Amino acid sequence: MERIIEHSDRINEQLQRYGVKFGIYKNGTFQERLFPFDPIPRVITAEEFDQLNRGLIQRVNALNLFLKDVYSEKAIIRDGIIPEDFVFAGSGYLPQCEGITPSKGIYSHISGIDLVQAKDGSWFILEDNLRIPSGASYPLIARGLCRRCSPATFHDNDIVDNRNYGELLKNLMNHVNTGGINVIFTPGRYNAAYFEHSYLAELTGAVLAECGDLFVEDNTVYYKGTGDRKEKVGAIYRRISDEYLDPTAFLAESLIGIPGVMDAYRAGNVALLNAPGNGVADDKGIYYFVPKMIEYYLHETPILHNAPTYLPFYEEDREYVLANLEKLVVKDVAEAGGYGVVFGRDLNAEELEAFRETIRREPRRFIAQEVIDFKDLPIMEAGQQVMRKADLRVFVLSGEETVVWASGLTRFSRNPNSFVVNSSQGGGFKDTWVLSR
Amino acid sequence: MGTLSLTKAGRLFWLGRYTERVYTSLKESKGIYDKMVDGEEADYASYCAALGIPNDYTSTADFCKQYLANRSSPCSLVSVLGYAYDNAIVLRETIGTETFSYIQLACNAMEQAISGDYPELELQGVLDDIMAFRGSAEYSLMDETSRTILRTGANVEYLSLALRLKHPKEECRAECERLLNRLYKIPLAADENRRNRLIDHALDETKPDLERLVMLDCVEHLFPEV
Repeated sequence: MERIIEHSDRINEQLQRYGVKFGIYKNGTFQERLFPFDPIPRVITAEEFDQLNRGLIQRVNALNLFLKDVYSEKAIIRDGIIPEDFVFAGSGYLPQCEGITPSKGIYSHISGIDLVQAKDGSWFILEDNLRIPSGASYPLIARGLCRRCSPATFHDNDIVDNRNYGELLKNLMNHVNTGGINVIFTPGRYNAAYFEHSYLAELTGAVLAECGDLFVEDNTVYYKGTGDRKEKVGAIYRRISDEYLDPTAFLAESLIGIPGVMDAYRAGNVALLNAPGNGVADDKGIYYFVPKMIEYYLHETPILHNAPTYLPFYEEDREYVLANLEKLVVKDVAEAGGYGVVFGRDLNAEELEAFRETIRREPRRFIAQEVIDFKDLPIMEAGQQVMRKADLRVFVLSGEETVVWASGLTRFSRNPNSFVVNSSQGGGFKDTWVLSR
Repeated sequence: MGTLSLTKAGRLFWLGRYTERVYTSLKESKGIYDKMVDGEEADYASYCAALGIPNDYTSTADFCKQYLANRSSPCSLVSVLGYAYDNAIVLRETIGTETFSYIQLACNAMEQAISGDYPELELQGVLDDIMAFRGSAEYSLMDETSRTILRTGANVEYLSLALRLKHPKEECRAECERLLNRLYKIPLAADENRRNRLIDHALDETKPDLERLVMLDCVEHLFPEV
């Protein structure tokens, strides 16, 4: 480990050389920034990973069954496991997706599951990201560069090679492809995750397409070449949000989508990864019900646990939340990227009261969680090791089978007093080592 | 790679042009830089006039500084390299991360160059990185069409500069012939009228001199789509 720390500067030089950046808007202007990388990896033992592996496959399989059910039979609602209001009132549910069966019946192809580890070593699921989770490319490219800068580290430690992500993704796209080329569809360079879009296109051999490159004719999607050339598209790993995907089905004013793609998708002529409408299953309110989904669909006991969560929607939970607000963290279910997260302990008496009133008025809008005293991880700062909060995003790929990528994006807060680890808010990242034994 | 979109073809073409512009301009302006090192005044005004860029400079030293480093001028070499980067960054999946990295390195070297008063060594780094970029593209780009478009962009730019800076007619003719030979290998439509006029000029060696302005117009507007 010491060896890799010694090579920290060289690794950062390499990350800079290869343009490992993310985009951010600051005061209305777009800036490309290097994603700060910390050389000390998060290390997950083989035993720990075995448990995570089983738990995450179980969870994602249940979530995929839930998505299929919600857009068809709705048995889980009929059987009273999840209140109807939680499914249909959220912005994630898209009536336009009713009755559509995606290629191979898979809805969440690439799932990004966020976890934290408590000080006692137990893992908790923080949230499920089933729409367009990003971040795999960072530990992926960092691993290759770390190996280059400090080969001895990898020779002397039994670390599972994570450089197969491109291959896993390519196989997944091929599995659901309905006939035609694979495409990664990006909103363009000014998207925060553009590096990832272009890097994954390079690794998978997919065509990176932007607005205007794809068009629909007779319910079939084509990639537009020069002159009259066109090529049929069989799978689109789209990296734009549902609402912008197809102006004829969703936001009419979207200029960055593919007009008519939902018709092609509905006709079974193209696979969309991830399926539109997945937001119904990764809503922060639905998160509460995922353990129940596992029991309902798989008849199994959940292997991994949610963070202790309360839904102010339920009277009993609401009373608890209002009475204990100062020690809870409250999340706005409509927000993402670390926004809409309020720690009760940071509010003064007046703010607490105002927030209580907001919760009473809009109970469906929030979830509340106990603040997990999660394990800090060491990072290097000005040549010294200091401890910081960190989470882990694990990527689960559902294709011919569901597999967990033996790595993940460990994000950390650079602010010693903050739990917020998002890159958009100044956080950095680490590699995640899974040990083979 | 199979089909290439017009957007990507355009980006490859301009990546080729901008990298060539930085490379050749650095070499061509070296004489002016030499004079500045000796504390002499050089004829930078003629250089600006030949390239069609505004002569906003107050002295040879000012030219050497601003032509290289003025970020608010679209003609400065730091800006032109920035345009190359802007095209390269959106072609990562086409040219590859390794090939892209040489453009990033060239930008890094340029940043170092513009922070000093006598940056000849750092500028050598820019030239080296552009050459490495070309070599990497040549040997690692699997797709022949993409390679040829990139080369065509460089070809157009070099010919444009050579015509403007009055390089020998034999050199211009040879470059023009190279360009014409590439037209059939790329999916970009060439303006037929201009192509024919270029053929007339490039291949007719009986003509005593080049009609440089006519040729320049043909070269600059050869590909109306990009």
